Amino acid sequence: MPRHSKLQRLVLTLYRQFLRAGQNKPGFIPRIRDEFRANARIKKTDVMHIEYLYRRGQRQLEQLKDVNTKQLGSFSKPRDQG
Amino acid sequence: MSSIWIENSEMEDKRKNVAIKLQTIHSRLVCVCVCVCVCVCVCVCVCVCVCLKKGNVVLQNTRSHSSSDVGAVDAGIVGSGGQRNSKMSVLGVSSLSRCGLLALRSPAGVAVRYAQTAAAPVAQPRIKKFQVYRWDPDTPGDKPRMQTYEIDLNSCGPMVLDALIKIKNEMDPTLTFRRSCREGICGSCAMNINGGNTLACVLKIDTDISKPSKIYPLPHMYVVKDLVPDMSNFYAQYKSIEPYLKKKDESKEGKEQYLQSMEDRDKLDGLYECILCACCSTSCPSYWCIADKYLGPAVLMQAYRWMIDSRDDFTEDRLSKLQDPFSVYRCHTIMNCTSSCPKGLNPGKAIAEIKKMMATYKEKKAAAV
Repeated sequence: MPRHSKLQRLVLTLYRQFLRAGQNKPGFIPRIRDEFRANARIKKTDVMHIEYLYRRGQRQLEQLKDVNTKQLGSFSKPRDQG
Repeated sequence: MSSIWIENSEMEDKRKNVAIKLQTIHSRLVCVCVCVCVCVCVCVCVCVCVCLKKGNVVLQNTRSHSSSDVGAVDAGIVGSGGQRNSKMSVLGVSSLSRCGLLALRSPAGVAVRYAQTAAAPVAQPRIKKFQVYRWDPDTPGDKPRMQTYEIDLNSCGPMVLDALIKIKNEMDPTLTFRRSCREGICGSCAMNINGGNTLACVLKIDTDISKPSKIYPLPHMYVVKDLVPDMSNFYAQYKSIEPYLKKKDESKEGKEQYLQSMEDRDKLDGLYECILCACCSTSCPSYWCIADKYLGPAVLMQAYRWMIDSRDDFTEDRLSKLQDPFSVYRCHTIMNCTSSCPKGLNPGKAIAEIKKMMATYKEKKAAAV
C-alpha cells in the first residue's frame, strides 16, 4: 500500500489541527471540510501550489485557534449567475 | 528684477494708450496697413524686439531723471514717467512707418511675444520597458513568469510606483502590489528593483530607455501574489524582541513623561526612523539561509534601539534573550543591509554595537559570579 508522502502527511496533520481547533465553535467544521475537499483535487505534482495553500492554512489556523474567535460564516456564490 | 517686471507692464499699458491714439489719428493709414501686415508678419516680430529694446533704453533714461526728484511719490513718478515715455515712444514709433502697424497690432504683438516664450514642441514618446514578476496562485496551474509592460515616460510620474500604478490603471488591473503613502514613510511598497531592495515610491525610474527595468518581490520571501511578500515571519520576529518600553517600577505609568537628557535622546537618532520595510533583512544572505532563527538586521536594530533607550530598565534582560548562537551571531558584517536601506540608516553598525554590549554584559555576569 503506497505510503503518504511527507507533504501529504503535513496536510493531514494540518487538517487534524483544524478539526481540533473547530470542535467547540459553531460553523467551523463544515467550512474546513469543504475547503480541504475542494483543494484535494490538486495534482500531487503541483508542489508549489500545495505549499502555498499549506502556508495559507497555517496562517488561518493561527487565527482560528485564537480564543477570541467565536464563530465562522461564509458566503457562497450561487451556481447560476443571476 | 522686480523693477524690470514693472517696466514691462508699463510698456504694455503705454502701448495700448499709443494704439488708441493712433487709431483715432491714423485710421486710414491703418486700413491700408492691415493688408500689408499679412505679408510682412515675420519682419514685424523682429521689429517688436527692436522696439522693446528701444523703449527700454528710453524708459531707463527717463526713470533716472525722475528718481532724482526729491519727495516725489511713486505713483507720481510712474505717471509722469509714463506720460514722458508715451511721448518718447510715439516719436520712436512714428519714426518707423511699420511701427505704426506694431502699435496697432500691440495686443497681437504681445500675443506673438507670449507665443514665442510659451510654446514647447511636442516631445517624442520615451518608451520604457518594465519586466515584472507575476504569479497568481488562485489560477490553477499558473507558474511564476516575467511579464513586460511598456510605458511612455512622458506621461508618467518620475517614480517606479507611478509606473506600477499606471500599469495597473491602464494596462493590467490584475497586477498586485502593496502601496500606501507614496512618499517613503510607510514601507509598504518595498520590492527588488533592478537588483536592489528599495521602496518603489522613492526610487526614480532610470530614464535610460535601452535597458528594461526589472521588478521582483523582496528576495527569499514567500510570495502571496505577484509582488506581495509574506511578511508574517518578519512581524513575528519583531514581536519577539518586545519593542516597547518596559520599566521595573510601573507605578508612574501614564502620569507624566519619562524624562531623558538630550545626550540620551541623541543616541536614538538613526534608530527610531526605521519604517520596518524589510529591505535590509531581505538583502542579508544570512537571513536568506536561516530566516526562522536569525532575527535579521531590521529587528536587531530595533532591539538595539530599546536597549540603549535610557528610559527602559530591562536592558540586561533584552541582551540575555539574544544570548544564543543564532539570534545575533549569524551576522558576519556582510553590510548589504546598510547599502540597501531606503531611509539611509545603518543596521550593520547597530548590530556591531549589540555584539559589543553582549561582550561587556557577559564579562559583568562572569565577574558577578
